[in-house]
Amino acid sequence: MKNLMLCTLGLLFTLNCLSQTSNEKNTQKEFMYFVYSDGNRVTDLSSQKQQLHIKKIGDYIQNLAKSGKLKDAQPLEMEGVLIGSKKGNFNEKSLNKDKKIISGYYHILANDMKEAIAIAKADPRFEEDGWEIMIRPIKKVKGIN
Amino acid sequence: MKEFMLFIKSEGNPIADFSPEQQQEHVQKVGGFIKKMMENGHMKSAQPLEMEGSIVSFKNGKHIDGPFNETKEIISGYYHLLAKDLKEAIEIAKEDPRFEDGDWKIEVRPVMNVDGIN
Repeated sequence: MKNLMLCTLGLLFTLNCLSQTSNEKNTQKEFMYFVYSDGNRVTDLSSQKQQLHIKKIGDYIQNLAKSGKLKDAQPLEMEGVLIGSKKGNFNEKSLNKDKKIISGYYHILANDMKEAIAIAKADPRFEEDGWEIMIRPIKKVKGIN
Repeated sequence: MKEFMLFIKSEGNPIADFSPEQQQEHVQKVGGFIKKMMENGHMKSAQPLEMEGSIVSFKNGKHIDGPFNETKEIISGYYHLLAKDLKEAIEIAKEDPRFEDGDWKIEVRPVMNVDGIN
C-alpha cells in the first residue's frame, strides 16, 4: 500500500513537472540573434585557434539545444548579394566582406528580452574581440507566420 | 539543394504611409508568395521582426548591452530558402511582391556548413 502511494505521488510529481515545462515552452518568445563581425574573425585565427573557437561555439549551441532554448543556429558564408529595386528595375551589389557583416545567426526561445540578452552574453565568442550580437524579437503577423 | 538566408532590409517602414487596406493587401501578397515558396519546397521558414531589439558586445573585459536604434537600414524580416545555387536564390528573391510596394532590399547569403556547428 505504502509503495503504491509512493508510486502515485511520484507519477503526480512527474506529470506536474512535465506540465510546467510545457507551459514554459508555450509562454516563451522567439528571438533572432544576428551575429556581426568585422570581416571574417575566424579565418584570421590560426588553425588551432579556429578549431578551439568551433569547439566552444559547438558546445554552447549543444547546451542551448539541451535546455530547449535553441530552434536553429547556422554560420553564413562571407559572400552574398544585396538586391535592390528602383522603379521596377533590380540592381545587384556584391557584399563587402571586409566590413561589418552578419556571419551567422541563432533562432532562440526565451521568456523575455532580459533572458535573451543573458543567453547572448554567455556566447563564448565574446572571449575574442570583434563580435556583436543583435537581438531582435520575432513578430507574429497573421497570414505570414 | 543549398540553404540560403535572405535578410529583408528597409529604411524605416516602406508601407507605414499605406492605408490599412493597402497594408492588408501587402501582407496578403507577401503571404501568398511565402505560401507558394513553402509549397514548392523552396522555403524553410519566413518571419517578420519587431522594429526593436538589443545589441550585445564585449569591450575592455566587460559585456555591453544597449538598445538597438538603427536609423538607417534595418532588417525587418528574413526568409530561410532552399535553392540550387546563389543565382536561383537571387531569382526567387526578385519574385517577392514586396518590391512592388516601396523601397526594399534583400541580402542573399549562403549558409556555411561547419563540422561541429550545423
